[in-house]
Parts: sequence; C-alpha cells; structure tokens
Amino acid sequence: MSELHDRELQAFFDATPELHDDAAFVSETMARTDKRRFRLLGARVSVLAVIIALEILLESPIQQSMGALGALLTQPVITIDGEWAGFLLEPINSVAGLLGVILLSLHWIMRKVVR
Amino acid sequence: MRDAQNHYREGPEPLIVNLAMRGDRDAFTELVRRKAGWLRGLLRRLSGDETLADDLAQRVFLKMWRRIRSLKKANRFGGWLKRIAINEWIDHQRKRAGTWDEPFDEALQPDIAETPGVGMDLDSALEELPDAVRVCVVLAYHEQMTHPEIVTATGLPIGTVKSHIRRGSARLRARLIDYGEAQ
Repeated sequence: MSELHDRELQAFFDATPELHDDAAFVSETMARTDKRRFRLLGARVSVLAVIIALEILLESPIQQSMGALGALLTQPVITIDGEWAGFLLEPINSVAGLLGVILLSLHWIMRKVVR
Repeated sequence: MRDAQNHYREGPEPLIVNLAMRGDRDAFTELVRRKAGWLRGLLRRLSGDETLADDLAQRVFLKMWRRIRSLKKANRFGGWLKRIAINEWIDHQRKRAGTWDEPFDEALQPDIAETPGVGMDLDSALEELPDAVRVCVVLAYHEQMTHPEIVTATGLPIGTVKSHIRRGSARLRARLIDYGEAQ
C-alpha cells in the first residue's frame, strides 16, 4: 500500500467474486499437460532410437577414421637417425607438432600485423 | 485412492510443491487445483477475456510443469508462478501487438463525456487502459503488490510504474466512481 493507493478503487477490486468451479478447468489442464508429457516422451524415445541406430551403423567407420587420424597426426615429418635427437625433437617432429607450430606462427604473425 | 486425494488436499503447500518438483503427478494436479481460481482471476483482469485468460492459464500451468524442477525453494512457489503468469501475458501481448509498454497518451484515451449512459464495470474500464498501465494497476490493486515488486515482475522502471498506477487509477476512478456520483 502506498500514498498512490485509492481505497475506493480498491473496494471495486475486492468486490470481484472469486472463481470456484474449477473442476472442469483442472481436468482440461491436466489432459493438456498429459498430452504434452506423452508427446515429449515420444520425441525423446525417437531421438534415442535414432542415436542408437546411428551408433550401430557408424561404429565401425567412426572407429576407423579416428584410428587413421591418430596414426596420421603422430607420423614423423622427418627421419632423425640419432637416438637422443629423435627423442628430444619427438614432440614437434610429427604432423600434429607441425600443425601446432604453423598455428602458433600464424597467431604470432596476426598479432604483429594487428599491432 | 480417496485417502490419497484427501492427503494431498490437506497437505501444506511447500510439501505439495516439493512432491511436484520430484515429478509427482497427483501433487502437480493438486497445485493446479489450488491455484486455478487465483490464476484465472488474475489473467481475466489482465486480458479482459475469459476464454483467452483460461487458455493463458493453461499455458502457465504447462510452463509450471516443465520448469518446476528449476524452482530453488518451495516456499517461493507463489511468487515464481505469478512471474510466469505475468510474463506469459506480456509475451502474448507482444506477439499480438508487437509491443506492450507503449507510453500512456491521454489524448488517445476515450473521453468519458463521449460515452454517457450505463455505468461501467471494472473489467470494461480496465480494458480501456493501455497494456502496461493495466498490468501495473492490476498488480497493485488485484494482487496488492508493492511498487518494487511490480518493478521486478514487469521489468519497468520504478518511475514508470508509479506514473502508470497514478494515471491508471485516476482513469478508473473517473470511469467507476466519479461518473457514478455524477449520475
């Protein structure tokens, strides 16, 4: 309540009869909610079924691709004869290392250019 | 079965809310039963249309069902549901008219002297108010909300809320009280 509150006007709002017979409204609302609930459940089951089907169908190709990608990224770029030299340069002497060096260089060049 | 229904009907609201938050359908039904009258009344005041109000009320209960797990404290259920209801009505008005908080223009309001005759009821008088003004007036008088609470519920600035309530009340007063006394 504040100084803006008009008591006579409040009486009009207070005189409003309350709604009592809500039984039909409640059952209609619950029917609508249940319908939505079953629709949502159906959608979730469908999505799950699609994911499982894709998993079964693509399991082999995905595993093969990941294996090939892993082998490619760890492939040495140059052959180093020395045991210690090969061990020390191993982190950058691979396709993954080369890609990392290229990306870091690009990042460094971009920073220089932007400045 | 009857005992279970009675148990829900007699249970304190926070308990019923907690059960509904855990996915108990009967608890949810009980909340709908308890809040239906209040919610339909509020939305009828805001919309001025019984059918629309009931449709909006059902949509509010659907949102309540979807979001009740996100409610942090069961004792805040009433205010939380009220905010969903107000937002639902604001969204509806925004979709229908593109806006809901247009400035209050006295010049655009119908002149009381132009419509003499039968005294006006509260719903018809409320219908003449712009949406933002109506929502502020309804929340202040029908819901007995304070100005800061209306600011939180509607997102309108405090100055706008006060101005809307002052102008809206004056308009309603002119329609409902002053006009009646002049007859």
